[in-house]
Amino acid sequence: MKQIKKYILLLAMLCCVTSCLDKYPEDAVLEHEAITSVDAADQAVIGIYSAFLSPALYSGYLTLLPDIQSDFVYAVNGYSNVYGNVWRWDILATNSEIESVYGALYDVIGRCNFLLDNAATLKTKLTDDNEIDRLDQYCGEAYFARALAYSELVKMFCKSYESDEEAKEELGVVLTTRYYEKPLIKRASLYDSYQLIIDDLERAGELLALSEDYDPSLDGALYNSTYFSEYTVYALRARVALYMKDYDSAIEYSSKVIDSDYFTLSSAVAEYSGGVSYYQYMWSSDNSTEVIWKVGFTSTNYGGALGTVFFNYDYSSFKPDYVPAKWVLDLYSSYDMRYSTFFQEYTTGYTHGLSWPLLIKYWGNTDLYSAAQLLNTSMPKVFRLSEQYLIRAEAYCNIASPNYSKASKDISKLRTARIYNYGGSTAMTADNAMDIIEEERVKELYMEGFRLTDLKRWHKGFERTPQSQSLSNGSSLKVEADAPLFVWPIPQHELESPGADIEPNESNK
Amino acid sequence: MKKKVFLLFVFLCVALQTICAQNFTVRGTVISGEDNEPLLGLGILQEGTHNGTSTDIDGNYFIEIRNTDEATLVFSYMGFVTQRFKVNAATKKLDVVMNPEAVEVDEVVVVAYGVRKKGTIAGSVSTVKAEKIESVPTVGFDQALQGLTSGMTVISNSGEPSKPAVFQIRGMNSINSGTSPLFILDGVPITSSDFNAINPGDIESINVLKDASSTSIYGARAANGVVVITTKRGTSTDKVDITFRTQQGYSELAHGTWNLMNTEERIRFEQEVGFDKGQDYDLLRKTDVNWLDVVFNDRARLQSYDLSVNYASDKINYFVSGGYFDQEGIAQGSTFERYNMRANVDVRAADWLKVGTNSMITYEEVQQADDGEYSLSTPISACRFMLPYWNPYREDGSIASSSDGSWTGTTHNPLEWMSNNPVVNKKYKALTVLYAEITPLENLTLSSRFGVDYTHSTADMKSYPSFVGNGGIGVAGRSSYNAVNLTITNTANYLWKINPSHSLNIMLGQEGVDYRSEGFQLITRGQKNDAFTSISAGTIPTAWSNSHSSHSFLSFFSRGEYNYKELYYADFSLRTDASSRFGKDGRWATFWSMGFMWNVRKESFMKNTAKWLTNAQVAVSLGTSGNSSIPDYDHLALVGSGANYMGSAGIVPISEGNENLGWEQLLSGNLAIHLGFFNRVNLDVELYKKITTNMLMLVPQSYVNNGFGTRWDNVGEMENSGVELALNADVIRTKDFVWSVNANVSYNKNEITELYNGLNEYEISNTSTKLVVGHSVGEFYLNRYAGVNPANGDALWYTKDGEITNVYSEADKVMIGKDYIAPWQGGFGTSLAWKGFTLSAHFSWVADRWMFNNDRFFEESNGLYTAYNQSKRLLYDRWKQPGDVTDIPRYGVTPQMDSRFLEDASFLRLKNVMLSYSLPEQLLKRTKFVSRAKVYVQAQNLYTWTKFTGLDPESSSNVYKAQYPMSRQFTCGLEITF
Repeated sequence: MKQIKKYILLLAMLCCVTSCLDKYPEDAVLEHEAITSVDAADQAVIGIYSAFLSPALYSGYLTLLPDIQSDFVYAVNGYSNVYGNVWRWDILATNSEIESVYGALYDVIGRCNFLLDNAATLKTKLTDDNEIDRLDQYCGEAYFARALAYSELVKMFCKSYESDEEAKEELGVVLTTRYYEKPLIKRASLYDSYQLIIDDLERAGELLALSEDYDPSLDGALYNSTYFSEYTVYALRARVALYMKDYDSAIEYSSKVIDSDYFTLSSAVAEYSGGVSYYQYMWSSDNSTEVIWKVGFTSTNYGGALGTVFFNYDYSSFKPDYVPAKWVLDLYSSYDMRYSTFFQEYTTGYTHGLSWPLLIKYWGNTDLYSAAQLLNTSMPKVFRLSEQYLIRAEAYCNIASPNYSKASKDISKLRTARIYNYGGSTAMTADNAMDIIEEERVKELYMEGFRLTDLKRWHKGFERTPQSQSLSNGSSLKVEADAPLFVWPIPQHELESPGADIEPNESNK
Repeated sequence: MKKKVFLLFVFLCVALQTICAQNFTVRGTVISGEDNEPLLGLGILQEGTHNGTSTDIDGNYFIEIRNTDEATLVFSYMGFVTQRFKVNAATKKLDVVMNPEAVEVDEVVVVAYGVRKKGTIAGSVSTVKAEKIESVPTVGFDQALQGLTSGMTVISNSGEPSKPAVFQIRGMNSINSGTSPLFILDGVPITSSDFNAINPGDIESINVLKDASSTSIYGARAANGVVVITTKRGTSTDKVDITFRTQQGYSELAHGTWNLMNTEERIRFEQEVGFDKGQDYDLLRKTDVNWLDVVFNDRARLQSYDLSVNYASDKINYFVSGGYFDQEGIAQGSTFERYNMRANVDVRAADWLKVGTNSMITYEEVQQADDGEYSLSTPISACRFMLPYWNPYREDGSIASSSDGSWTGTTHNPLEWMSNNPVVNKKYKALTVLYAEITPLENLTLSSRFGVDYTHSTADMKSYPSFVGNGGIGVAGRSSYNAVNLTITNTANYLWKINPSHSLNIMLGQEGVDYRSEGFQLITRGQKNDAFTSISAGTIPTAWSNSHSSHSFLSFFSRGEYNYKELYYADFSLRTDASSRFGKDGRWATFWSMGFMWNVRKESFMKNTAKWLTNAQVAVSLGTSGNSSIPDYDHLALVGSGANYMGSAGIVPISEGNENLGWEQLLSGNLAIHLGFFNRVNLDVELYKKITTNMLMLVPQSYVNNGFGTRWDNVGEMENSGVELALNADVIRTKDFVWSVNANVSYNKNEITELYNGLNEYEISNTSTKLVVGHSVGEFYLNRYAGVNPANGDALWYTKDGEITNVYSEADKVMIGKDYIAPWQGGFGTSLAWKGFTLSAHFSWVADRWMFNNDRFFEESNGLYTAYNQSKRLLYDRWKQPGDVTDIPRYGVTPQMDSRFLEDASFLRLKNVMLSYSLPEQLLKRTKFVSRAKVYVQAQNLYTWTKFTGLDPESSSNVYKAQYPMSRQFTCGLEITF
């Protein structure tokens, strides 16, 4: 009997030992225990920035696909079919790249909402003014990041913004501003979607406002930053205003950036060192005074490689999937120093031995290569001063009473920085102004993800004609203005998700 | 005083015994009643004592019996009916004729936490015995099980020697949660990744538990059935048995359909489609390489050695073994080497106490060839892309390199890439079970079993800097992973024989499982010298990560078994389980089962059928079991680290959590009929239905939910129903000649009966399948290809409504009625034994299985991948001029992922053929030390019949993608027992 008692005791003991049913991971904490200090909020902001490293966003699909889909590049015979569906306009709602862009943008938004919801709770417990100021700064960065993500969503998945009245009738995107509340999964109007972006930017502008005694020489320069500031807010605000055809605001905010003098255009004419211009240095080292915000890479913490598809370099030969369109190459004047910065002729390793200018703009950051052998990897420069000049010039041409001379001044300013011995003035009239601006946007922002949206908002189509060794299937594409696929299909995953009440785009059909 | 009296009493007793009792001897000869030949080594034991002897080569024995007038001698010999004879001094000589046992020996089957005599349980259990497993010419036993038992599908997704097969019992019960059965090795749960660590020669039996009555007691994780693996124990009672086994052989491609162009065809093709710019065809014509032969070895060596010792006495029995197994895979860069040891010991320490252990230790070194993903570097994938005029070898036979231009093809020579980027995996595994069994009262057994399963595995990865593709910079990576799984099981069993008619067996038990794993990985680069390619030789870390995981289970269970006159059997079980993978609310669940069996044959009214009907049983069972196979922490809303930016460490929400998550439940019912005729033919018929509710599924949700596109939830319902037939028969059975046949067929129908949130369908992106209520979970959802317009070579499809169109549209996809989960499967075999020769053959098959052949999308790309090698069909069969009737459109009309690539992947495979010869024991007797010897030759996967056009039809996947094909083995083996 004693035996049995002992045994039962042992059994009971073993039960206790094994009854540890609450298991927690060692490298994660419970959601509600995560943000308990301003330092933790800081780390959550770093988490937001790191979301922009996703190769689905600026260092990959979001930058490349819109331009590959347009008339900028040609697939080469023998290419690996990477992004082939997008180039051939054979884009389905089940396209996994487009789905990952959509998912990655909402991931950014989720991280912002997580910080903002938790910061609101945390703020009630803070007493130290410095701590509160720091937290405000973090919230400002989160508001900006959210606005940026929504601006990309409306850019890719919605029709262009024509007017407030029309936008109230058009479909926007699903809006969510709370982490802990289940959102209503229904698309807001295009107007409301843009309104949220503007509201977020307003809040971000207030929270990120530089102190009145800000002095770049003491407090550090604003240019070349990998973090958000008051001026990234204005840069995005100007871009959004242009896309909303709110030209007055576009002028107002781009002027704030341009006139601040915190940023200066990098000259493609002046030498930085060793025969390399400032502009070339910007592309080969990702450092420049005209960068307003870039996604920061380090040799151990980086995003996608923008240049891969233009080289596919295997240390012995180049087999580019895509090469620049001839009409783009022909656009640059012989004094335009951008040409030699962006393009260099190589003989490819294909059996057909095509020789063609390849996009060395994305050859990659040489420092990242020497440190960690990262090939064709550049930091995406999401906001540059040159875009602000282009925004302002376009806005001047489109305001109620167009001011072509001011537009011309902006274009000249940009060209002077890019073209050897540029004369200093650009003749712009009502007839040619938009052509000049379009041409300049192509030449300046080539393969930076603007083309598809520009064509969409200008209601232009395009036509591809075959060039040397271009893949026949896709080389003779003719796309009418306002073709449905200028607006990407809402991913099938979203339409079929439980509880979703999402209206498809025309391109979903 | 008392002491003195006692001593006196003892003295008297002893004295009395010496006076009354006497010693006597008995001698005689034992012969077999079958052939009147003497039996060697037959055991004779004086019942109730340890006094015993055995017969010599002529069947003679001699035994001395002491201190008694009368004794009972027990004559026992394997395969013969044990006989008992009373003997006394007058007996002197006793000749015995042993009669062979009927085939229906008392076989046992394994049930949860115990064994039962075959034919005395209500549950559905199939048994596979050692002889089917121990000589299988593969790394693990899993390969040997294909087509052997009804209801269990065993499919290999890869020909990689170290990779385990995928098991499925009675269909697929869940959409996303685990569908693999629970594997129990000597009482301890293991996973399929451990199969390669177990020496097949150590396995005594494998029992497949299929219905609720047999699995429910395993409650947790038993929803997909249970496979119980039992290792060998000491059984040789007369002497220590030493067995040596070896096998030598080689592997080659098992099937290997290959339809890519040779050089001449390739050149013609390039010229036809205008891909010939800059080509020097006179030069290229000199090379014609079949890349299938380059990448796949047709003489991949295989060798195994295995030594075991076993012995059994009434105090101790043991089985100790050691083995070495070495197999090259048929693909380049795939090898497997294993050293294993095992000690199984049982000690009867006292009348009331039995203790023992099953312990194994294994060391493996493995290289795995990359497969399943398309790449131009990894050989299995690259072999179908490489052009026939690219020679992987230089003239001197060395590997061509892009560094000196001897490699003329695209990117890199896959062979060079592989030899410069090796990965070696090592695995160390120790699995020990300790148990103690106490019998404090008659019929009461308390047992406690503690298992420790420890795995340490490492990977060592290198990229040599001298390889041009690495750009002069090396890379080195190391990873280390440790896992320990502790299992404790305590049971109390009471056998209650109320009277000869009623017997009741009651068990109570408790079980706890605690699993922890941790690992890390570090990769550095910057190595400059091939001789120094360790991680420390690098200059910069490029990736680092670590992982932790843990889970636990706690269970309490009880079972009652009752039988009345061995005529009616009933069993009931009840079990409650908790899993750490669920939140507090959904953590506990209770499972139950009941089973009834009627042994019709034993009814008195069946007496007059005894001659022909040797077995007749009807069994029914009903019960529930559970499934919790989801990631360990997904019920928690968590924030994790690693979201770094510009050298600052960041945090980020990593999971949303769902505290309402709970067990997936499975209700299953089974009806079984077992019939035996003339003691020769056995027929088993089983019908079942299973209903999965509260199904655990990774439910897609809108990314708007904070970027989380999926979440785990309990949703939906699914049904599986099926029928199984198993037949085995000894067609001819004489002393010298036995011919037996066996066959089994299983049919399973799967149907989703409910999805989530009222949704009736969901397309799973990039799989070409769709979940639809009323359809099977594996049904394809595709655009139907309608062929080619003979007039202009356009591709044509059917619209949703069946009209013909030349526009491919997502909207025209339909459920196609074809499934990637085979509803039909089975196996059949035969065995002929004549004197010492045995010839056996075993076939396995699956039918009505379909698979999307993604390889053909590349091979018949019609313009998408012209730079790589293409199918001959593209040259010969594509549309070229108006009037051509074919299924490949004109060049340039690129393919879509439509039904043209959906192929019938059913197959029939001659899984194993073996011819063995056992040397006559008479002959072996003369050697004095060899007691048994067997030599054999066998072929595994000898022939495959299939319509599938890929390298091999065997797969459990929906899509066929650069898969490592199955191999065929030829081996010869030797087995000697001393």
